[in-house]
Amino acid sequence: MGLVVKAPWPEALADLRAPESLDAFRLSLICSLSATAIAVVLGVPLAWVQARMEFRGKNLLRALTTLPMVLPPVVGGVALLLAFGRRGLIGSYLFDAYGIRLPFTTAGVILAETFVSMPFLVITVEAGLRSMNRRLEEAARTLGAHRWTVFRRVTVPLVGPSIFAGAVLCWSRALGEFGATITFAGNFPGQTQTMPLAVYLLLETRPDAAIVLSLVLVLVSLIVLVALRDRYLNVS
Amino acid sequence: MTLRANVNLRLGTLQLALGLVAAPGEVLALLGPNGAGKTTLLRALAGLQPIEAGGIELDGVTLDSPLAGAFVPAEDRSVGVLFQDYLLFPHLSVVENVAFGLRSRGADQPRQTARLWLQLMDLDAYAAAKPAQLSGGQAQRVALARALAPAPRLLLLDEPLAALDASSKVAIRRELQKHLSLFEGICLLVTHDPVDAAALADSVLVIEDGRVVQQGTLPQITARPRSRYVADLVGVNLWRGQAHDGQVSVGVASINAADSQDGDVFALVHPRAVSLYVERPDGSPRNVWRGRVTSLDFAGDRVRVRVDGPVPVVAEITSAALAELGLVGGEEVWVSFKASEVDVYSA
Repeated sequence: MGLVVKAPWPEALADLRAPESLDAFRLSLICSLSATAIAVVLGVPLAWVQARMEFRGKNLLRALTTLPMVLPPVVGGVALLLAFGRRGLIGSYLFDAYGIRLPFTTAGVILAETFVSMPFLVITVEAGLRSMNRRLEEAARTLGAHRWTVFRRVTVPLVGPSIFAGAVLCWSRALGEFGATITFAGNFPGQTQTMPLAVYLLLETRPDAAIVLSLVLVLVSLIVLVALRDRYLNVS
Repeated sequence: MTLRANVNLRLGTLQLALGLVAAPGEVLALLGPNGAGKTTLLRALAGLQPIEAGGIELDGVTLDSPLAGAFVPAEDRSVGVLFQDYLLFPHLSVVENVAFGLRSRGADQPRQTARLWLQLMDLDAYAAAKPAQLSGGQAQRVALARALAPAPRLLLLDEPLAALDASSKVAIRRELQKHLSLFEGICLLVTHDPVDAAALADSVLVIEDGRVVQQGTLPQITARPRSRYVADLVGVNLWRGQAHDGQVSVGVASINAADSQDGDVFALVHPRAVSLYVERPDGSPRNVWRGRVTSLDFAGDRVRVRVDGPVPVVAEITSAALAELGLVGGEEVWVSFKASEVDVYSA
């Protein structure tokens, strides 16, 4: 509410059209959508494993998948730096072998956002898989469908609403990601400066523009929540 | 070209240990109370539940043999299942439900074949509908078409009529009968309704507590029940006891029978042969005792009176006789029946 009252409406449009705002907006969109896509590709099978398979260390796996959700994002960023930084465990190997550098790049932003937002998708999809009638999968098997066919033709369509809800939650979390991004990817305009980072920076120099950008983010979150309310309640 | 199964497995408190043999073109009914293990047996045959000992063999091919370490999973067995709640895929249209098995098994033109099945089932008008839009009877037919479409060698029907309301049951049972008579493979039908078994099956296996307690045709089974369950279904008095010189001892009491068969026996008396009196009756009947009326069940103009005594017994009398006796439940009565009315056969 405070944002709406304080918003400098006449200059608002001009602020939105400023190149740095557009850059931040574009970057935010690309990174959050990429992060969501990666989360869906990795997260749906992960949720399936957690919901359907019994193995030792399953509780540990589940704790690890939800950890980024409860971790302060900055700590997540530090962890990513330790793992994927130039001298990090995986990062040094990636750089030496392939010349790939993740920290302080756009790819780094996507990695940080995926890391922080994927748990939202995994948890939602896992809940959907658990509440689904598993006997439908058995029926598919008696009709000659092998595991992958069952997954593709029965499981995924039936948990479709959960995947969609999880993806939207994941996307909105990625869109608002700040802590892990700034720690791991820094704050370079046009390269790693997403909307939340731009807001933070503008607050120092042009508070009015910061308010306008913040409003855009609030609006996006609000639309997501309203659109998702029914589906999300059904899933959980 | 037969099904031979010897299924042994434990699931929770259920201990399944039974064997069966079925031939093509035959419909074998598995009749038994809830929790007897009928559905678990079907799951074992379908490959959804591995067995712990024994073996399952279809057309000479071993499907499950723990000893030999062989197990063919459900998707690779030529088995069709009609589930009790049908389990149609809610996200697929009716025709796609029927085509599902054809697609997974790599059949040519699955959609066209599925359409033919729908025509056969008088359901072509619903091809594009979603399962949720179907009535119970229609859903059952779609589920049957889906199970039959890939031409399985073995068809398993799990309580195919249980989910239907009484008014549509008769017509759908007749319909099912028609389709089963055309089916060339082996068909197993699980039911707890003897009417279904009578209408649909050639022979019956009575299952109780995971074991086969009786098998044969339905008339054979109902003429000489060998379990409490069948006796209750048919509505007769059945006791198990030791016979010696025309006396069958059941617990502490004994029943006089005209048959002279010795050893472990069943004694059967039809409730209509049992008479009730307020005073101790005189005359020829040799089985006379006192008991307390515990319940009255009305069926038309007949009343079934349950009497607790040395041996619990059910008497079926007319409602006029009931009025004459003035019974409302709880009073003491005399029970009598003739020794010649007792059918004794070895257990």
